[in-house]
Order: sequence, then structure tokens, then C-alpha cells
Amino acid sequence: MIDGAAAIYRTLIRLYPHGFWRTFHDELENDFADGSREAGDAGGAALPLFWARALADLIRSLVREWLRTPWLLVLIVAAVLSVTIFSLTALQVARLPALLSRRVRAGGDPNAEALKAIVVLTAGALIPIAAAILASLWATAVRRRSRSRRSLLSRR
Amino acid sequence: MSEALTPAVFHILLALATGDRHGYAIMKESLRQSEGTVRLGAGTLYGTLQRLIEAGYVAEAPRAGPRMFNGRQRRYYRITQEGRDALNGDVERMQGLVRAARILKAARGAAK
Repeated sequence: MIDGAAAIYRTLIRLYPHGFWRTFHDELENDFADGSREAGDAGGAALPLFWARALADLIRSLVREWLRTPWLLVLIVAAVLSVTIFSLTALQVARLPALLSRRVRAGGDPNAEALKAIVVLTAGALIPIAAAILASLWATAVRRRSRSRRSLLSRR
Repeated sequence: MSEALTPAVFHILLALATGDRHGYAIMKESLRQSEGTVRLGAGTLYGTLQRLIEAGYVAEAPRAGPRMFNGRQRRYYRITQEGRDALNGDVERMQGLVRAARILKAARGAAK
């Protein structure tokens, strides 16, 4: 049972930001194993209590460590950007048939109007792609900066 | 007046003030010295240790040879002079608070 709990804990600590996990995963796993063994030796409710405390600490420290990284901000900005761009593109595409038929009815050249529609659709598809590329480049730059900060705690 | 340290930082520095320790030993020492009131979890401990290392209060202790505990190789931590200064500053700050509280208590006792 202790081995199973250790395996679950080993999996859960992968949720920490990568730099933190890379630096401390051995020690976190060792401390969990030692704590489980000691609590198991103590008997009674000591072992489930130790696991409950370890889980509570894991959740608290996960939030704290993620808040320390720029990644949370990157994720929020990326999510807001994606939803906004997707909504705008969807709106544009939804309005396109109505816009096209209105212009044709108003005496416009059907071919020219169709070409405009293709241009608008292409732009609508390209903007999110370009935004995703820019966001990735920015995220890579942020990650490089945070890596150089973490070199203070290099693994042996 | 020196800046107040958080309970976790205070107890980690205090645990290291008496010698180099690995993470698990810091947790046990913090629990002992706080008489069971400060129970540092592993995630909290290593997160705080990382910040203390970045602040220059704690450093990884150099190893003369393999340092094992319960059959596993451990990383040991050592308090730096800056860490000692911060710890001493906080102890003095708390002593000042206790002195002030005692004076207040004595003055109230005399007024009764």
C-alpha cells in the first residue's frame, strides 16, 4: 500500500513547474517514503493522517510554485487571446454569407465579392495562427529567462 | 528594525543554525523546536528553501563524500552569514516585542 501511495505521489509531484520538479523530485520522493515508513511504524491513523497532510501540502505548494512562475500569466493571456480571436473569427465567418449576398444584390460583381470573402476568411484563419506563433515565441523567451534564474540551484 | 520572517523561514533558518541538515531533518527539527506547532510539508519546505537560496540566506553544503540517510543520497543545506544575520535580527525583533509586552503587563499590574 505504501508503494502504491509513493507511486501516486511520484505522479502528482510532476504537476509542479518543471524547474522545481527537476531540482527537488528526488528529495520530495525520499521524504515521502521516509515519512510514510515512520507513520506506518507508528501505527493507528498515523499513516492516513500523514498522507492527508502530504496531499494538502502538495496542493498548497503547487499553487504557490505555479504562482511564482510566469507560466500562469502566459496561460491566462494565451487563453484570453485564443477565445477572443476565435470568437471574432467565428463572428466574421457567420456574417460572411449575409454580407456577400447583400453586396451581390446591391449590384456588385459576384466574382469580386467572392474574392473579397476568400481574403477575409484567409485573414481570419491566418490571424490566430500568427498570434499562436507570436505567443509561442514569447513563451519560449520567458522560459529561457526563468531557466537562467533557476541556474542558481543547479542539479549535481 | 529588521523585517519579520515568516514562521517557515524562521524555523528553517533556526534548524540550520545548529548545523548542516538535509530536507527531512529540517522538517523534523522544525517540528521539534516549535513543539509540534510548525509542521512543514515537503512542498512548502523545498519551495521556501529555493527562495532562501535565491536570497543568499541558505546554500547547498559542499559534500566531502556521499551523504546518505535511510540508504538514500541526500542534499544538505547550510545557513549563510546573511541567513544568520536575518535570523538574529528576527530574534532581536521578537525579544523587543516580548520586552514591550512585559512592560505593558507590569504597568497594568501596577495600575490595578
